[in-house]
Amino acid sequence: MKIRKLILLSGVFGAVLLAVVSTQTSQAEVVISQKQIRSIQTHCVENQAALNQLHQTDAFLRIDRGNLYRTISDKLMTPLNTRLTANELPNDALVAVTKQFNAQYQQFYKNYITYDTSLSKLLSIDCTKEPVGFYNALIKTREDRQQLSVSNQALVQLIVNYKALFDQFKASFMAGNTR
Amino acid sequence: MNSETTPEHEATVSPIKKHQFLTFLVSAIIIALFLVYIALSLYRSSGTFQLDLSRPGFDQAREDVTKESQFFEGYPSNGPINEETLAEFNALYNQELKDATAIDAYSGDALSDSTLQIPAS
Repeated sequence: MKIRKLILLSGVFGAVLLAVVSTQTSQAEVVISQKQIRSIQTHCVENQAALNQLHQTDAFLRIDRGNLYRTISDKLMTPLNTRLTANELPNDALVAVTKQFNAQYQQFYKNYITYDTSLSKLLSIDCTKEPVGFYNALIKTREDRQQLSVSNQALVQLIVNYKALFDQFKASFMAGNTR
Repeated sequence: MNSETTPEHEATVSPIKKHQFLTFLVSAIIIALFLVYIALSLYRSSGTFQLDLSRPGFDQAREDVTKESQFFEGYPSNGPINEETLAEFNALYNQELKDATAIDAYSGDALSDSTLQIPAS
C-alpha cells in the first residue's frame, strides 16, 4: 500500500517537474543572437532604470484612467440611464453600451494585473547575468502591454459610442419623437 | 474510572493549565499570523496590490495622483428630462470624453527593441 502511494506521489512530482521544465524550455525558445545578448548586457543598467520609470508611469496611468472610467460609468452613464427609466423614456441602447463598458472595464482591470505582474517579473531579472531570460520576459511583457492597450482602446471607443447614442437620443427628444 | 482523571490526561492537561497565559499569547500570535496571511493573500489575488501606490518606489506616481485629485459630483440620477438637463449632461460628459480621448494609454513602443537599444537579430 505504501509502495503504491510512493509510486503515485513520484508520478505526480514527475509530472509537475516535467511541466515546469517544458514551460521553461518553451520560454527559452526565442532565438536571440550574440549581438543582442551583448547589447542587453551593455545597456542593462539604463534599461532597468527606464523600465522602472515606465512601471511608475504606467501605475499612475492605471489609477488615473481607472478613476476616469469609473467616474464615467458610475457618475454619468448609470445616473442618466436611471433618470431616463424613471421618466419612462427609451434607453435600451444606452443601457447596453453601459453594460458593455462595465464588462470591458473588468477586462481592462485583469489585463493590467497581468501586465504589472509581467513587468515586475521583468524588473526582477538581472539582465547582465540572464540576458536570454530577460529578453523572453520582455517579449511576454510587451504582449501583455499590447493586450492592455487593446482593452483601453475598447473602453474609449465605448465612451465615444455612448456619446453618439446620447446625441441621437437628444436629437430625437428635441424633435419630440421619443415616446 | 472517569477518563478525565486518568494519569495520561493529567500529564497532558496540567502543563497547559500551568502556563495558561503563555498558551493564550502563543495562540493569539498564531491566529493573528493566520489572519494576516489571509489578508495579504486577498490583497495580492484581488489586484489591489497592483493599484497600491503606497508601495515603496512609487513616490512620483503618488505625488502625481495627489496633485490631480479633485471631486467630481456627477449627474443626478433623479429629476426631469428636458432641454436644460440634457444640456447639463452633455457638458459633463464632454468634459470626461475629452479627458478619455486626450491620451492613448499603454500604446506606443515603450518596450520595443529599438527603445531598449536591442538591435535586430
